[in-house]
Amino acid sequence: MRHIHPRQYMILTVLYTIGTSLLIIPSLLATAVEHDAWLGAVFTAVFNMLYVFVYVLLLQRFPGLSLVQIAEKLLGKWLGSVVAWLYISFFLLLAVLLLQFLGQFIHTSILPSTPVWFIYFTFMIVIVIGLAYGVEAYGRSAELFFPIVLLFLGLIMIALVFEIDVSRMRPIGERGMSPILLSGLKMSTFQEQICLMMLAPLVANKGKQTAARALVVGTAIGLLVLIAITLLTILILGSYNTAHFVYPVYVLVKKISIGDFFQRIEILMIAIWFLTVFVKIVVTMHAGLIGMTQTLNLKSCKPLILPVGLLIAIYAMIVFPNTATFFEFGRESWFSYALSFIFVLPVSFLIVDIVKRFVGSLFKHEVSE
Amino acid sequence: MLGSISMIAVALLIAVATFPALWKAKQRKEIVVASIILIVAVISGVGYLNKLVIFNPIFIIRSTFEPIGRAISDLFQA
Amino acid sequence: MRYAIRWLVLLFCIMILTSCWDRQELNEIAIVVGMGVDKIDDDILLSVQIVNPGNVAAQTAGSLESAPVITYTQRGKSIFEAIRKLTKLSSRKLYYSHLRIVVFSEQVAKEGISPLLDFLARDHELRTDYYVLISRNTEAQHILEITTLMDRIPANKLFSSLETSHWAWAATGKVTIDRLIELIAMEGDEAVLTGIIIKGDMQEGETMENTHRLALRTLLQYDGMAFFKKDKLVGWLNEDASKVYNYIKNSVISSVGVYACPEQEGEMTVEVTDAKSRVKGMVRNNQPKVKVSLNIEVNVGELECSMDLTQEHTLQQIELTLEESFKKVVEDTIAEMQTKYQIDIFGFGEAIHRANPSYWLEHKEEWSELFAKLDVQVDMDFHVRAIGGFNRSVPMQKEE
Repeated sequence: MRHIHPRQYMILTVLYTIGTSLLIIPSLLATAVEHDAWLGAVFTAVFNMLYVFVYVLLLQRFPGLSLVQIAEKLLGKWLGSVVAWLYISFFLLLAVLLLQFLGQFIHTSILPSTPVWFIYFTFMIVIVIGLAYGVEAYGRSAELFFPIVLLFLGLIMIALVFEIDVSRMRPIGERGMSPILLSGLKMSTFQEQICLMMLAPLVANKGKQTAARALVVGTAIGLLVLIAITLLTILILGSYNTAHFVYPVYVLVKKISIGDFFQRIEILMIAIWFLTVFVKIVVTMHAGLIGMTQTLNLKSCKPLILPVGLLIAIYAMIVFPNTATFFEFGRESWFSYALSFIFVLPVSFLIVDIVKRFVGSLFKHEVSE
Repeated sequence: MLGSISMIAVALLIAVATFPALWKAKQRKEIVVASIILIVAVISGVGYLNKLVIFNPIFIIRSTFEPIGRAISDLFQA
Repeated sequence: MRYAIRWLVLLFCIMILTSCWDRQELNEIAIVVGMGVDKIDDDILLSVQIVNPGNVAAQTAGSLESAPVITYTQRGKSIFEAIRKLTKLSSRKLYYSHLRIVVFSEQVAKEGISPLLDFLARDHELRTDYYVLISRNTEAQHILEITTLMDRIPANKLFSSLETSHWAWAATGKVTIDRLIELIAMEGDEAVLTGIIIKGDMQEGETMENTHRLALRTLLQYDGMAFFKKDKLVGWLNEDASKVYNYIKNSVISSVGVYACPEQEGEMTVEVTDAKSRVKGMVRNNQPKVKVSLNIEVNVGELECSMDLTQEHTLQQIELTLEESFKKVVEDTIAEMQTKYQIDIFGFGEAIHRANPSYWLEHKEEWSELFAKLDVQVDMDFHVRAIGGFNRSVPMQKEE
């Protein structure tokens, strides 16, 4: 059984949480609630932590089992498989969307003449290699990337501190809390830590450092970064620009100029994104593969890596013919679809488990009497 | 045309590279699953490139979940 | 076998990392440093200033062979179309990531610059670190065609002098494109851009001979600031009004002002070392009210009258004089904007918005009218900190 250290799991979680959120979330939040976008980010974090706590509870009740195995244990062979396959389709679709998103960004911002499918396939090759080497390998790679990512993010924040105009943030809460809550809820569905839950059995718990703790801490750190960056975009670009630029964080990083020589470093930001999105896609695909392996009782997921990789790369081309359908999907349908898998189903598992144990304890009492 | 051919070629390459080893290790199930996935991938890809009707899961998801999403948004607005 | 695969992958990576579809070879691109937008009939006339690399290199500086920059001009229905059409003239692909300034002609600005800003915001090659200017007595095209001396690339000269001027003189301001878009979009604030003129004979300025004199006959100079209503240019602020604008907007880093000496004939010049402005909005009895507090620290720079600068009471007199004089200038400027134009360039609307969002939501449509009658209170606070190296004025003959 392959193992990774809880610290590596935490690092994977942080990179996963940062994932694509820096790219999508500030703009969408600013469109919804203008200069209160940072508050929206705070609520995104609150909702996200709520979901993670549900996962932690599940992990504690079913130690060593992945989500799919939990489903089968709780709901029986038949219903459990259905749910398991729903989850697998969710993971795979998520991987497609992530790959598509990354490809679109790169195509729009830096490589406009390169055909998009080339970007999808090339990136998929890297991901497939990562998966083939296994979780230990990409866990270690993530550990290597992590200080670089943190360093660069810290650098951005320090370098931009002088451009802040606090008045851009005011008036606070102009439209009331309800739109902010709604947008926070919607944005929280762009973080899918549920995929990380599938990897939890692979983590070797070392005493107090468990997978559950790593998940919580990692998510918290990632969300803090999200809040900080959203705050920065609002304070520096203003709410209009943040809402109307498709990739405001990219525009923000373009502004960094220290002493007239430390400038034009935004390509470093793109390198960081490569790393975080790589982690996100690898973990998501791995979750899907683990799900398939466990449901079908296969010996290992290795033979499926290449086929699934091909499938996802091909679907990345099919799924959204243009950027408008992508935005519409993200705005209208993703929210409830993702919420079902991220929150509704896990909570249902919890409820079913609680009810089962309660009913079970009732029967136990009766028998012993 | 070139795209379809290369897609099929890649799928065949993957099959040829991995199946014999699996056959030897008696992992028949894996071969079946892998081939199903490859066939789905190739059919979708080739279908898309030649503008035939293709299976786009987004449609299903949109039709199911869009109304739910709207309902929740309205709930908040109320 | 595994070895072979690894080497293949490595080879593949090396090949694609140098990028094939999107490669930009240095000798295939022409670096655009300045852009000018004019109008001819219904079309846009786009001018670009491109660096001529061979001539800008240090060793060949001063060579009469060719100019350090080249300008191309092309007509098109939109900026993007004009840019592509420019390839008919230029031998290389134009590369916009090093753009330093964009100049819009006054005429174009009067018709509304928002449509022209669209391409600048949308294109991936363009960044947000260039400044936007309005050309005043001439077409933008001609601004780009004037030769300059110390900085051989005129766009660079414009860029550095705008930054220096913004730093040292309160009547100029540097505005980047994202700030411009923000100001146009904001409902309680309006855009203001620095204007540029050609001083001297234009025809002469377009030749290399212009830079071969000790006293340049034709120069590019910043002059006044243009104010907008939404995205249409409405008028120009003179020197004093521009200063007031920059002070209120808190964008003065240092500057200089000349005032009459207290109780004497003659004038004194003070150097502003620090200027802070606070604009506070409030709503009293359903009436909006704005309080502008300016806190300015100065050093005495030049004296034309005889004063003993070692006495504290002299400095206090100076402070009082400054406060009274400048307060009048500020109040006059604000009043003029209120009565003559009814355009809120100072951001008072935003101040009200921040102070009382519900009032703003109700009344923002009629802000022009409300601004015209707005009660503005100006508080001025000057502090004289240092007096330089001479503690009295240089002895002069008093008139008996």
